[in-house]
Amino acid sequence: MTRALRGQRLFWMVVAVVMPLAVVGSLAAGRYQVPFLNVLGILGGKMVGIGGAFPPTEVSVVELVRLPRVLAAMLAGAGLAIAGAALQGVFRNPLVGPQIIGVSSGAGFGGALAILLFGSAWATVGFAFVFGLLAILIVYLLSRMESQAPILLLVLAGVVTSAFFSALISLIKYVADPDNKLPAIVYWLMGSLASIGWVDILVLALPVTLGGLLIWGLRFRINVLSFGDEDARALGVHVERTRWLILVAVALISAAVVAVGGIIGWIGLVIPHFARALVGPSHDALLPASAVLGALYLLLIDDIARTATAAEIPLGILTALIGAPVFAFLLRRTYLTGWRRD
Amino acid sequence: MSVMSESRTALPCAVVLAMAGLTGVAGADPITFTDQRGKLIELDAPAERVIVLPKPIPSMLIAVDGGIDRLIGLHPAAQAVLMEGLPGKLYPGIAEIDTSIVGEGFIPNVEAMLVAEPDVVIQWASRPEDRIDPMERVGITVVGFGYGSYEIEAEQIEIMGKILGREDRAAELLEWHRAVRENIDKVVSGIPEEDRTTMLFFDRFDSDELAVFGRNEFFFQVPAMRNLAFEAGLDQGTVTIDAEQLLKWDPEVILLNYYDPEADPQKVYDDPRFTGLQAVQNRRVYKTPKLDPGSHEAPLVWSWLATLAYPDAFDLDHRAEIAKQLEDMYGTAPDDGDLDSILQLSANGDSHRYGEHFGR
Amino acid sequence: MIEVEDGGVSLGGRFVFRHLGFRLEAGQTLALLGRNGRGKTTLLRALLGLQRWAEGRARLDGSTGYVPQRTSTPFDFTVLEVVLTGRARHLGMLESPGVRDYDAAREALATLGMPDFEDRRIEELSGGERQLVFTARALASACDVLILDEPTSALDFHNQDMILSTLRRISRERGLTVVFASHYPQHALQIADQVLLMEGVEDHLFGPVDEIMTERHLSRLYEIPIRRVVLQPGSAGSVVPVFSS
Repeated sequence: MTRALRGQRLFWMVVAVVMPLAVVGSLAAGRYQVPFLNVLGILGGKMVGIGGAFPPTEVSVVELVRLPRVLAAMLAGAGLAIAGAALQGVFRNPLVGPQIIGVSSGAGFGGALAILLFGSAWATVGFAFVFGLLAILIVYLLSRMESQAPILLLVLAGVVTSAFFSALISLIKYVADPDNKLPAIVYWLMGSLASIGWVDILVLALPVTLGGLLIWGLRFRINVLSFGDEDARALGVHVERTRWLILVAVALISAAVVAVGGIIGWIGLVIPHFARALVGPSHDALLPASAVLGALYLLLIDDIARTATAAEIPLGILTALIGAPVFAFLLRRTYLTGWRRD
Repeated sequence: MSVMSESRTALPCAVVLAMAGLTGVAGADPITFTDQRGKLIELDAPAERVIVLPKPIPSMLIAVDGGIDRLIGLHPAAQAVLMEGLPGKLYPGIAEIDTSIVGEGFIPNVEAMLVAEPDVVIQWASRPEDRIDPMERVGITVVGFGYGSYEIEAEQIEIMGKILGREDRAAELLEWHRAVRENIDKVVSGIPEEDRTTMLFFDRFDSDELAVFGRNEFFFQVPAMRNLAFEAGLDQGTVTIDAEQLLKWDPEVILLNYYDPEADPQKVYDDPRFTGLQAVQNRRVYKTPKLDPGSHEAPLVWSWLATLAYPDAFDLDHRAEIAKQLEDMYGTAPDDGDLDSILQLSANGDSHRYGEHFGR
Repeated sequence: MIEVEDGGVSLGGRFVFRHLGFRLEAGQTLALLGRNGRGKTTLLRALLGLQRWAEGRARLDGSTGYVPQRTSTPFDFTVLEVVLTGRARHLGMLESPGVRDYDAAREALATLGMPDFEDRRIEELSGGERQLVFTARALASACDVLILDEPTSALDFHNQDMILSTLRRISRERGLTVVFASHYPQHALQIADQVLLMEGVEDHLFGPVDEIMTERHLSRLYEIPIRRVVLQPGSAGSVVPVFSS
């Protein structure tokens, strides 16, 4: 067995132990006291199809409040991490993520616009998706030079696009009715899974699964693309077509997450790094590992958001508080170890 | 110190003098009072042209003055709210009042102000460098209003009476406040703390967000209701919580702010997550009436809340009282349809003992 | 077989080269020599289809494998993962390498004498080893024509010798057609059958090594005096530049 495979096997063994613990632990944690054994009993009863004799409120807390929320956190975390890993691969740059690349602000603007104009969940998803894609298209066009996307240009194009859509978001806030629409938009933009229901899970699960599967199917192509356009073309790969598929998948995932949970930053940027350190850079191993780590990470963050205080803490704040310093550290280390050659 | 004589430009001054001459109060004593930023304001005569920028205050002006003739400018959002409610129905002229005098963040449009020639502008006292100073620099008399407590709101009624020369009406309103409070207090003061009705007041209650009032508002205190969010240590105006926290608090009464167009007790009753709540099981979820609890209308809300909190202890004729007071304030009595709408009869009709206390 | 007739490529409105022609039989090795900026890399890219021909006709039979002068990825893949990317043309958009591809990759590594390298990370390798890994990647694609851009640049003598002897060996073993660009005339002497000297935009000299690699041609090409000396009887001889200082 190769060294890389040994590392991956160890990783998955640890995950196989940690993941169930994290899920059950999250289902047991919350502001409303549900005895741990009852949580297990309610879940177990659900699985084998028998309703035990548990207090109805405890059942609804576990089944209708915590379970959808736990699922949503894991889906969103996994989706964002996969999207980030794929972006880092195709842009050959470990410092990009859905937020750096402007897709989050684009989707954020689309969603805010939809709330302002319509206020229906599906419109929010649709608009978030269209504008997320538009943002990524703008960044892509801005940063292309002679069919390359150099690191500096890419980050700058992302900054420009983000700034542009942030300005549009401000404009929306400015014109929104301050008694009604504005608080809804502000709250939504800060990111929260507080009111996730089973319908939201559907809105989230479909695009994330679709985008995730598409990216998973392209895992080998991402490896090839990470050597650069020309190299990939010489290896017989349709570079543009592959890259577009990935961008669409990333926009799909980011938009769904933004639509359901608002702008939850930094996960797509930071998580793939940890995954890469644990299972190596090859995307057949990296993508599932990123998904699992992203799911665990957002699950944990969301647990903090909902249990730390009586008031909800917006997720965007927590992920940024942790993500920004980590990103700064990575930026520095990356520069020092010579990814500069791009 | 006279604000007026010190810095007034010639033209508005002349207008005021001419008006004062016409109404025959030229020789009256100047009106002096301290506004809510601590500045001494002096007016030569009751103001005839008043611009009101804080959103809740125009209806107070109407209530104190009994009309809209002296209201020459207001915030566009306040105009919209008034037009949707009873005042708009009684005074369609509100739609014609100038709103060009204020921009986002209550920043005054000074040039439009000069064109409007107000005697007094009522403005929020906070952030004076952006909101007040530009007007005072061109000689406009500004009265600063604060917010955040009942005492401040009561004092505003008093100040409004002075500005308009309607101190009699202001005193009448405040006396009514006092009397209603006293009547409620007689009933509720004997209730020990642990027996007082617990509640949560939701600013937003929809599929996206649950947001509660964290402060212990005065209109919770008068009817002796315990705001569980405040008792849990929250102190901001609106705080987002998750469903589980609501289940944990399990208040006896849930109130939904009428400002939230999606608020509907039926949605709470139907939500499978909340079937275990005692407020749901006892059907004690209510949408608040279209009355402003932080204004001169507050006593109507106090009575409403006290009745919901202690339905056995109160037996008031709410409809008659609301009709009388609104007539005193706005000049015309609301009809039965108006009262149904104000009291949210269609939203609350199925809730515990609502029809009995508030129905026709 | 590779055949170029009256070929020309222009970049930014100016011809890098034009009126260029040569014909290389299958299994032969061609060396491109010329000073910096004469279009060696451009010609290689045009042969690979990465660069459009502005004029002329070009024909290349079979599939190509490319070893660029320099290639990099920000990710520290294992050697096997790098070599596997050579299989891309044999896999559909959503396909990943299967047993056949792993076999091809391992065989390519074995051919280059590095069967134990598959688990190493490319960042740990020396420049020469890395060059071999990328050559293995090209071989793993089962190409008929191997195109290398300065495969020995930045390598020490030992590594240069290793690359050259490997190229000659696999060319013979597999009947591979090889085209490489180099700054070392010596390398052409060592392993090429044919040489293309790229002197100016329209000046090109093509022919068998023995005919073309004369002191006169090389001195004109590099614009400094160049001597060919035979230090060891039976060897191909050495090309020695006479530097001006």
